[in-house]
This record gives sequence, C-alpha cells and structure tokens, in this order.
Amino acid sequence: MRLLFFCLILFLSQPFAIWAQEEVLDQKISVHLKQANLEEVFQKIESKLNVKFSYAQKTINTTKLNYKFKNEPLRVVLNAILKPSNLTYTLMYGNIIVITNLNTSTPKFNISGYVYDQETGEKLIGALVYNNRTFQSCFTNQDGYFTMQMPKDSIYLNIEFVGFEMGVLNTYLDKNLKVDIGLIGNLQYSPKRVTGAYGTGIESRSDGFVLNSKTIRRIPLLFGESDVLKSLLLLPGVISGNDGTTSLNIRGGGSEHNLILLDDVPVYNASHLYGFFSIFNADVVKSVKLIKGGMEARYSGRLSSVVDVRTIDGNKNKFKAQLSIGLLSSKISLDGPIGKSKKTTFFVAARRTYFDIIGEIFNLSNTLPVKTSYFFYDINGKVSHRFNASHQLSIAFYNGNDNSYVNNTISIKNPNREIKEKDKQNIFWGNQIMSIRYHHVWHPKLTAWLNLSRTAYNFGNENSYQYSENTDSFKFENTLANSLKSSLNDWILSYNLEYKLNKFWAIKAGVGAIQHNFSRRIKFIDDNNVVPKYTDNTLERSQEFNSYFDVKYDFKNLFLINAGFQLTTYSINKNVVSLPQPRLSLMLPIVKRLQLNSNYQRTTQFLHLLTGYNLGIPLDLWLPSTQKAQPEFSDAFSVDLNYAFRKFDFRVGVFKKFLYNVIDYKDQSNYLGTTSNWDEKIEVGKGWAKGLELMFEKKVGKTNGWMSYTLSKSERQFSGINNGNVFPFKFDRRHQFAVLVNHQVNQKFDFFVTWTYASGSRITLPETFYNITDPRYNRQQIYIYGERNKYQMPDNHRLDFGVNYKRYFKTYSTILSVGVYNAYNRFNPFYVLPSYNSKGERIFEGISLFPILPSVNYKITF
Amino acid sequence: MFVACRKEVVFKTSNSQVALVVDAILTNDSLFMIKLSQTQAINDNSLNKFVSNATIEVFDVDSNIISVLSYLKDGQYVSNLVKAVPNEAYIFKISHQNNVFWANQAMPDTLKTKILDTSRLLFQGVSQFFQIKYDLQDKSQLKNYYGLKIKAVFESINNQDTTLLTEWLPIETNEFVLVQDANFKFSKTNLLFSDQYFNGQNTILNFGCANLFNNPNKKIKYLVVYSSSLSVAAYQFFASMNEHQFYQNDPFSLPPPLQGNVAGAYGGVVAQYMKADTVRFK
Repeated sequence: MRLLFFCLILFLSQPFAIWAQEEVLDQKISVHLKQANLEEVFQKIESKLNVKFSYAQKTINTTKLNYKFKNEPLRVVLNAILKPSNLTYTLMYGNIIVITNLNTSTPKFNISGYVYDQETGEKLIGALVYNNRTFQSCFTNQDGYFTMQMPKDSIYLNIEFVGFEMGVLNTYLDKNLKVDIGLIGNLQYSPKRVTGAYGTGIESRSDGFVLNSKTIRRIPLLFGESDVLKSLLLLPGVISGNDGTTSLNIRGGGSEHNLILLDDVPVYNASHLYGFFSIFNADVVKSVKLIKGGMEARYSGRLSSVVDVRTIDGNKNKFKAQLSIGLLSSKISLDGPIGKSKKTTFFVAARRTYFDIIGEIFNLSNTLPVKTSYFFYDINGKVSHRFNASHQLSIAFYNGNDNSYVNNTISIKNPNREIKEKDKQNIFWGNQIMSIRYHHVWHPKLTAWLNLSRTAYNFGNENSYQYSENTDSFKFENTLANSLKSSLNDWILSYNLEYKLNKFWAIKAGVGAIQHNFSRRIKFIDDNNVVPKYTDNTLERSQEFNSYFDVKYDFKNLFLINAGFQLTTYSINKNVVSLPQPRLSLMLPIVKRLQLNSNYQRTTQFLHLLTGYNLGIPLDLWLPSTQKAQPEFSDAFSVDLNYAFRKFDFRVGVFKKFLYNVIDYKDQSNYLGTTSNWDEKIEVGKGWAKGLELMFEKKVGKTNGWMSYTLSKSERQFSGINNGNVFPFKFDRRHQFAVLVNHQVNQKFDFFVTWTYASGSRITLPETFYNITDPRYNRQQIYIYGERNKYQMPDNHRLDFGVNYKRYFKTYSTILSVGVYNAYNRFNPFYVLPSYNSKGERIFEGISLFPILPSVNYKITF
Repeated sequence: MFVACRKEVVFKTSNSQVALVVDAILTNDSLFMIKLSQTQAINDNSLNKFVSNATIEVFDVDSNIISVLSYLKDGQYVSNLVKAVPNEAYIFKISHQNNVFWANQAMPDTLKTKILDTSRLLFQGVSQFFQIKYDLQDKSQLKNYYGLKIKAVFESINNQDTTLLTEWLPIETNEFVLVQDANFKFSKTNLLFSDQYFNGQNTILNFGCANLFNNPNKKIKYLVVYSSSLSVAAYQFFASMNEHQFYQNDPFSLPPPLQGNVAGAYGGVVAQYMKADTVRFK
C-alpha cells in the first residue's frame, strides 16, 4: 500500500542554539522512578531537561521501572532504563532522542519509491535519502527511484537535493512500504513562496559533481546565453579549451574523450556555432552530472569523463510555457500534463538564432548578388507515461542543425540574349537523436530499464553551379554539382538492472550493443559530360557488445567499496577485440564530516576523433579504430578528501592518468577534408597527466558560491611527432582558478559575479625562417617551427557579472537578465599568427574574439 | 559576427642553429643559377643573410664536371655558358664551411602547348570573365607533372603618368583535371597538376581570369600563360610550398616543411621546362 507523505520543511537557519551531542547527553538529572512505565519516564525527563523523546508506540512496552538517579548524566539514565526492554537511543536534530529497537534479529522490510519536485512532479535524480539513526543512505537513480532495507522499527529519513529544502519522513516500518516524496524548491520564483534557504545548486560527489538546472540558468555566459557545458568550466579539474568555446579537457584528456549523454544517448558533436554554444537548451535541462573519476562500470566508450545531461519530463500538475528573447537567439518551451490522469507528461523546446535574418535585412539593402549567412536551430522533446508505480515509458527526440551558406544569383536579359547563373555553396552539420526508455520495477529491491536509441551526426558540403544561356539561335544549359556527405549513425540497445540485496550489498548489471555506421557519399555531376560523373559511396560498420556488473558493499558506514567490471567486444571488418575495463572505488569516512574517496578506472574508446581545430566544428571527423589506430584506453587514479561543515564544503583531491593509443596528425599533415587513408596521416602515441584540485564552497545562504583551483600537468609522446620527444598537451594549463558568487538581494533581484583565470594554452611557433623563390619568381618566406607546443599563450582571465530582475503577476512571471561578459575588456587571444608591425618588423599578433560584451535576455513564463 | 581585436604578443623564442638554404629553379635554355642564403631567427629583422663564400660544381651523370658556378651578387652563383638541356640529368656539389651538400636533378622533357581560343563570358557570377581554351600535349605514358600560371601586364594610368604593372592572376576554372588535383585548394596563382586523367593524350583545358577589364585606370596590355613540365622533385617542392603558404594564415594548422632535395640543407634544386604563350589586347 502506497502512502503519500507530505514533507516537513526544515529551516536550516534555526533560531535556537544547536548543542553538541555530548553536551545534551551530559546534562545531569535527578529522578526517582517507582513503578513507572517508559512513557512516564520520558515525560518526567522532558519536564526536567530541554529534550524531546520520539518513538513509535509499538516500540515501547509497558514494563514497570524502579530506579533512583541522583545527579547522573542523561546518557547513564537512558542506558539503564532502556536496556531491560532491549531498546537503544539516538540523538537527532540537536535535542531529540529517538528510541528504537536494539534487537538485531528483527525482520527487515523495504522502503522504496520516488522523490520528486512538489511543484512540477519532475523526478529528482541523485537525491540523497538518509536514515538519521542508522546512517544508512542511498541516492535516487536516473528514474528518481530509491530503495532501502531496514529493520522493523521507527525510521527517520532525511531527503536532500540541491536547490530544494530538506524533506523529512518519519514512520514506523512494519511492512514493505512504497512512498512518493515531494520536495519544495528553495529557488522558486513565486510571490507566495515560503522563505527558505538559498543554495549554490551544486552537489559534490565522490565521482564528480551534479549541477541542477536552476544553477545553470543563473549563470548566463557568452552573449547572455546560459550554457550547460560552459558552466562546468567553473569546476575543478575541468580545463578550458579555446576562449569562449565549449571544449572541456578533463584531467589530461581531450574534448573527444568526454562521453556526453543526453538522456543516456551519446552525442557526437555537442556544440553549435563552431564550438561557441552547446546543443543543450538550458531551459529543459533538469540536471547535469559530471563524472571525472570513479566511473561506474556501465559507462564506457570515452576515456576521461561522463557528462550526463538529463532533460525534464514535463510538469505533471499544470501546463507551462516559456519564451526567452536574447541578442542572438530566441527560445520557446512548452511542458505539462496530457489528459487529466496526470500519468502522461510532455515537453517540447525549440531554439533558433537570427544571424541569417539580420543578414537578410543587410542583403536586401545590398546591391551585390552574393548572399551569405549562418543560422542554427534545435528542437527537442519528450513524452513520458507512467502506467503505474512499476512501469514507466518515455520517448524522446532531439534534432539540431547548423547551416552556413553562400548564394549567388545573376540574371541578365537583353533583347537578344538571356543569361542566368546560380551558384550555391552550403555547409551543414547536426545531430539527430531518438530514444525509447522503459523503466520497470520488478520488485522493491530490483529495478530495471531498457533503452533503444539512435544517435546520428551528419556533416555535409554541397556546391552547385547552374548556367543557362539563350539567344535567338543558341541555347545552352549546364549544371555542375558536387556534394560530400558524411555521417556517423549509431543504433544502441541496452538493458540494465539495479538490485539492492540488503543494506550492505547492492548490485548493478547490464548488457548492451551498439552498431556504428560510418557513411561517406561523394557525388560529382556535370550535365554536359565534359567531366565524367563520379560517385563514391562508402559505408563502414563496426559493432560493440558490452556487459558489466558493479558490486557495492557498504559496511556499517565504516567504509563503502564499489567494484565494477565491463567487458566490451569490438568488431570491424571481421577483426574482433575484447577489452576489459575494471573499476574500483573506496569511500571511507575518517571522522565526522570528513570523507576520503579513492578511485581507479580503466576506460576504453573505440572511436577516434580527428580534430585539427579543437573547436567542435564540423571539420572534426569521428572514425573507427583500425589495425593502425587501435582502440584507445586509459588508467586513472584519484584520491580526494571531502570535509563538510555547516554551510561550507571543502574538497581537495589529486589524480594521475595514463592514456594509450591516442592519435594526432603527423608533423607534416593537416586537416584532411576527407577520410581517405586517414590512418596513414596520423601518429599513435601515449599521454599522461597529474594534478591537484581544490574547491571551497559556501553552499547555502543569500550569498553563496564557490572557488575552485586546479594545478595540473598533461603531456603527450608520439614516435613520429616532435622527433619522438615528450611535449605538452595543447591544453596543458598549469593553473586554473574560478570563483562564482551569487547573491539574492530580495525576491526580485539577484546578481552573480564570476572571475576565471587560466594559464595560457600551449602553442607551436616558428623559431626561424628563410626566403625562397617560388615559381612566379617572387620571394616567399618559409617558417621553420620549433618543438610541438613549446610556447605558452598569454594567461587568460576575465570577469563576468549579471543581474536578474524578476517580476510576478497573476498568471505569468518575467525575468529580465542584464549582464557583461569580460567586464574589464581583457585581451584574451583566441589564436596567434606571425605578422608584421607598422615598421615592417616581424612580430606575433594575437587575435581576440571577445572584448567586453553586454547582454540582455528577457524571459516570460506562463 | 565577432569583432576581432588584434595586439602584439611577445614570445621569447629560441634561436636554432643556422642552416644553409639552397634556392634553384633550373629552366630550359637558361644558365644554371643557384642562390645560397642562411636561415634567420624569427625575430631577426635584418636583411637576407646571403652566402658568398661557397663553391658550387655541376657534374653530369658520368661524374664529369660541366661547370663551376661563379659568384654574382646577393648569394647568386651562375654558370658562364652552360645551360640546362631538356632530358639531361645533373649533379650539384655545394661546398660551404667544411660541409658538402649534394643535389641531383633531371631536366623534364619539352612541352607543346597552344592557345586555341579566347572569349569573354559570364562565369560564377562574374561578367567579362576572360576564358582561354588551351591545348596541352602530354608526351609519354610515364607520369608527368605540370604547372600553370598567368601573368598580366597592365598599363596603369595615373594623371599624366603611365606605368606598366605586372601581376600574377588567380586562375578560375571548373576543369576537372585541374580542380581534382589535391593542390588546387592551396594556390590559384600557381596551379599544379598531373596527367593522371589524360596520360599520353592531348587535353583541352578551359580556364581564365576575372576582373581584367573593370578598372578604367588599369588597362590590360597582354597576358602570358606559362605552362611548365615539372620534374617530380619540382612538383613536390612547389606543392609543399603552396601548402605551406596556404597554412601560414591558418591559426590552427602547422604549415608543413618544404619537400626539398638537398640533404642537410633547406630549399631545393628543382627543374622545369617552361613554355610561354601570349595573348595581346588592343
């Protein structure tokens, strides 16, 4: 039978003093008990001391007690009176003494269910469910589901999730219980909201961080656009790529080494606009989890990290619409229930830039026949249906495209002659994702989900030229066209199980298969057959089959160990290779509030990304492993200490990582423009990285935020590059520092400030030159480049700030956001080239793309 | 869309060891001329460092000395009377500061070309595009390499003054044999291609130049179409030069080194048979 419990709102800033546990239990008391039952004894103690007793009637019996205590500490009194009844006590919430059974042979029951947002009905992923008495805890899974086994007794659960006020569930567990627990957000925009605590909205975990959507939306960045991936750059261990881009380089890995998931489906190119924006619409993102170390065995396919992006399911209680208008793009999103049953919800969100519209306005006033422009759009959505507490189905999609084009049209007409000419050049790229997810609870202890999905990344380049000429005696037409389309198309099927055996043991296991389809189509057409027709269709397939298990053992809160293993078999063109990926994590509470985490992971990557630009632009190519370019793999170790004290959280960690079979262009090779013989133009080598990460966070309060610092070193070595010598990785930034401060002035105003600093990235520069005669008998300057990545770009730092102004009306609310990016106009060069100054002297010239940039964004929510 | 700001960035670059640079394009019926210089540090803004104290000897394939080049000026060494002959192979020995550098080079065969026709038409949105119909004879079944360039001579009128200007023009074409060469994207003023699509046969090429007639202060006098038959070393050397120049302005690529043929030195000794065809304008 399922019970619904309403949450008690617990104020974290309490007006009364919080006494140390020892002080409460050391209070002296004198009491004379004569034929008194336990309930009467508790009442007597409560009348003398500032304590409260909490217990279930079923727990205590009616045994009569006879005792005389004179000036004894309360702990002595409690031990004496409870022992005959086989009871024990726990001090909670400062001065509440909770009475429970001591009997270890008590039968055990499961309490399981879902944690959700009270206002919207959204399941909360990663919420902490914590038994205050036994210190047993677990997190809700990706379906917002949790399960715990406890003895028949009173239970006192705290439920915590960043951005929400803590929930409390007190009940007596004497049978298996299914519950739904709703939490109230403390960052809600509502004129009737209850004052609660504000928070950073970021949660530190042993394997990384979780950011909730409200945090991401409060940090607008470039052009006032909130960005999921760029928000992660404020965290320790996440090293930025080129200025302003979404490139994440985590613990020595490149951007291609991050497994970016959208609702469990891998995304191959997670950026728009040549890497300056991510494809994720922050308005429909529920949470982002960044896993840097201690990856569970179910994650595979990339070396460095997992960025697990989850979208909302849709508001279960009411229909909501949001419209957001910015300088570069506009967004609209709709979500809500379907039907009155509240079992089905949906969301749909669309976003589009208007560079092309602005360009069209410019083009109309321009007499040139040439029209150029660029735009991107994305649309994503989901329908979720809950059949009952045990069966849920969701169908989700994403479609996003970037398009850059040049159109040139000429038409000339005179009495004797008519000429028409059309020249089009078009570059486009994008992702399409479709997924079906079925979640099933077999048993309170056993939950499963089945995923069937398709993810595709396409890139195309089309050129066409049409010419026609008509005279009185002559007619001529010709069409020349060529197109190059390449795509990576994956079909993915997986089945995953989570089994909570008991309070000590939990097991996760699963199987999966991926079919990769690499296709490349080239077409060349000439109507007049002056040039032969030419087509090339190449289709290459590879497969991955994987199976994994994870075993977690939680020994009475003394330590927690998680051991996992994944075996992946990869096949292409009848070549088969199987690679094991062991994982091991240990969590050790040292003293109260101080926890030690240590992790080891072996990860494998069967796809290579050939990137010459590291910008996430369409010229990057995803390619399969071959005999020459074997699968990449990595071993990573990390240890960190986490100390949480009241409103503060402090974390320090170290890591070491080794990378094998990584690829890079040979010294004489550059971007290919084609996949032909690509593995002959690359070198295969190795890399390593090590570092120290620090983070200090004020989690709650009207003023909150964090500081993060990373000290790291990352290197590579290839036999055919840099004469086989070790050289720094391109994004080997020795120091990276970020500070973010949020302040909630009142219900209407809040502002944020961020300051980031990073050591310059590495660059290869020419050190010498010579002059040579070219075939036109001109003197040309030829550069001789020094060692790979020998030099360092200038340090990069900038200040951003923004203000949000909220207004609430009866049926809608608005937010006006005004901000400044790079407030002191720091010159952060995006790239450097050899050049000349005004005196004709040879210099290096830096080019920066982002000076001081104001931004404005207006959002309406219905 | 993005406003780019530019500023000098100072780097303390290391100075590598100075090396010899050999610069020679041997052309049919021309004296042997080789230019020697040295590499310079990137922040060295002094004039070219020419080498004037080297000895250059030319041998035939039987190791008979043909010529010892004499120093002229500005690093140039030239033969007295001996000229490069098509289909002949030569060996060069360069001695400088106790080091000896060697280079081999075979002169390519002769080349037959002819301008068949010219016209002005609309091409890729450009009116008054000057198109040349060109006949090129590929000599043998062996793999051959070619270069194509167009030089324009303009009469520039400025008030009362008239001067002659020369300019290398970018070649525009849809011609498959030119467009399909991997080097096409690197340079339009120095086209390079091979005979892979017309081996051993004649081929008619249509190509041309834009913007010849739209400047009233610049009157085109004549065009010279240079076509060259290149040695393998010359093709590779010029192709690598085009690619290097192309990537010099690409901030995210490393311009590849030139593929020279002088071990221990930069540059190269390469050979071409060059033919010029002229188009005059009234």
